Amino acid sequence: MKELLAFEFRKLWRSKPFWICTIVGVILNIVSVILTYATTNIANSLAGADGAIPGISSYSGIKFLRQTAAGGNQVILFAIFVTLFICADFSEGTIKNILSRGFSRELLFVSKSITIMTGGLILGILCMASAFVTGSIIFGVGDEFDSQLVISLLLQLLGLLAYVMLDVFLAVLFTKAGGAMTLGIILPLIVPLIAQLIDVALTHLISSLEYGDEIVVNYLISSNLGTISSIKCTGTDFAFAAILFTVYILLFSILGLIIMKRKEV
Amino acid sequence: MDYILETRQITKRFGRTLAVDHVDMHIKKGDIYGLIGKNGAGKTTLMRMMLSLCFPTSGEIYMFGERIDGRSDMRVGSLIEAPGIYKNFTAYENLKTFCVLYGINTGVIDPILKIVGLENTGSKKAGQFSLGMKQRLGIAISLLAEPQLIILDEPVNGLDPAGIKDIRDLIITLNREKGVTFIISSHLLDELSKMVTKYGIINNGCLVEELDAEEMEQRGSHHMIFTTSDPLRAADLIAGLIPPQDIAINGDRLFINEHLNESARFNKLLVENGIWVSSLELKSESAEDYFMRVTGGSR
Repeated sequence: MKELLAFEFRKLWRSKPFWICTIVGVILNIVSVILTYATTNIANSLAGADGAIPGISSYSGIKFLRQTAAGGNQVILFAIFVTLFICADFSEGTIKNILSRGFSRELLFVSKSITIMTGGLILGILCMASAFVTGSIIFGVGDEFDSQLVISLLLQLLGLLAYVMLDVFLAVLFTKAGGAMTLGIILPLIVPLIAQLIDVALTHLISSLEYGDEIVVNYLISSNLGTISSIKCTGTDFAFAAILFTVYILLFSILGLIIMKRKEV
Repeated sequence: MDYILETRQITKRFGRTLAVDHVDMHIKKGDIYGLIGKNGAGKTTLMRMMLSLCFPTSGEIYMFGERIDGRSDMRVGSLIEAPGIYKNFTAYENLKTFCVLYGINTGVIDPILKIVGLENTGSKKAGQFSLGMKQRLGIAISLLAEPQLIILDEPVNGLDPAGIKDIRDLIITLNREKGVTFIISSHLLDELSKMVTKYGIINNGCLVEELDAEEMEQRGSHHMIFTTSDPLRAADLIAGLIPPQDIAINGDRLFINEHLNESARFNKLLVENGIWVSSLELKSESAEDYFMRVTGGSR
C-alpha cells in the first residue's frame, strides 16, 4: 500500500491536468470576484445613492469563501482532472505493469481514491483561498467569522469529495476518459433538473405536499452544498449534509471498488 | 515435477466465444517457452490470465508452486500487447516511477537503460519515441525488480533486425546467466527457434501440443528425392533395405521418407546397379512448416 500511494502521488504531482485544472479554478474564482465588484459598481452608479441594488458593503472575503464550493466550477474541473488521471493508466496500458506485479485491484482502487481525494481537496482549498484573498483585498475580510463558518467549510470540502468519488466511479466504470468526463460534467447538471421535475410530479400525486416542497432535491449534493454555504444554516442542516455527503462518498467508493475488482485489462 | 508456471484446464469465454479452451501448460524453471499460434488463437488471452489481467472462466493457474487467484506476483515481469508507459515521462522517469511502485532502488535504472539501448534518450519524452524504442522501454520495465519469470507477448514487434538480435541476446543471457524463465509469444517462428527450449502450439484456444525444441525439429517430415533413369528398378533395390511404405514414385522421381542419413548408401547402391542418378535432394520440414501443418492453415 505504501508503494502504491507513493507511486500515485508521484504521478499526481506530475499530472498536467491536475495543475491546469487547479490554476483554472483559482483564476475563475479571482475573475468571479472581480466581476462581482465591477457589476456592483456599475449597478450602483446606475441606481444612484438611493438604489435598491446590494452595495459593495454586502460583500466580503468571508462571504466569497463561504460560497465558493456551491458555485459549481469545481465540479467541472474535478470531472476533467479525475477522469484524465485515472483513465490514463487504462488507456496507456500502465495498469498492466501494476496488476501483473501482484498488486491487488482493491488496494489499487483505494490508493487511487486517496490520491485523487487529496488532489480534490487541494483544488477545492486553493479555489476557496483565492476567492477569500481576492474578496478580502477588494471588499474587505468581513466580520462573519464564527465556528459555523469552519464547520460549513469542512462540510463543503466533504461535499466536493463526494463529487470527486462520483468521478472516480465513472472513470473506473468507463476506463475511457471521454465517456467518463462527459458524464462527470453532465450528471451534476442534469440530475438536479430531473430531481426538480420529480418533485413537481410528486406534489401533483401526493395531496399532502405543496407546490415548492423539495423531496428528491433535498438529497442532492448540489442543493446541500447550497444550504450549508448559507449564513442561515442550522445544526440540523449541517448534520444532514454531513450524513448525506458521507453516504455518497461510501456509495461511490463501494460501487467503484466492486467494478474495479472485476475489471479486466 | 516442479513447474514455475502451470495451468490446469484453464478456460476463458467471452460471451459465446471460447478464447481459451481447457489448456494445460507446463513451464519449468529455466525454460524459454515459445507460445506459438495464429492470430486470435488465444495466446494473448492466455498470457493475460497468467498475469491476472483477466480472469479465467474456469481452471487454475499455479505460479511458483502457489495457486494464483486474481493476483499475480512481484517476481513476474511482463510485456503484453502495447508497452505500458507514461508518454509524458522520459525513459528514466518511467523507470523511476515503476521503481517507486516496486519498492526498489533507482540505482538499477541506468544499467537497465543501457541493456535495452535507451541510455542516450535524455530528456526526450516517451510519447515521442519510435515504436521500437517504446518496445524497448516496455521490456526495460519488465526487467525491473529482478523477475524470475518474464512473460513477453510479441516482444520484437516494431524492432529493426539489430534490435531483434539485441533482445534475443538479452533473453538468452538472462536465461543462461541468471536462470530467468521466459514465456514468449511471437509470429516470427524462425526468430523464436533461435532461443526457445520448449514450444507450446495453440490453435483455436486449444493447446495442441507442448514439445521440446529438439522434438519440434524431429517432428517435421524429412525426405529425399532421387531423379533417376529407372525409378521402378531403383525402388525395388531400395525396398530391400527400408520399409516399402517409405518409398513413392512420381514420374522419374523416387521419394523416400526419412532415412536421410542413408542417402549416400542408397546412391551408391543405385550407381553400382547401373542406375544413373541425375539429382539427389534432401528436404526437411521447418518448424514453421510443422506449425502450419498442425494448426491447419495460413497465419
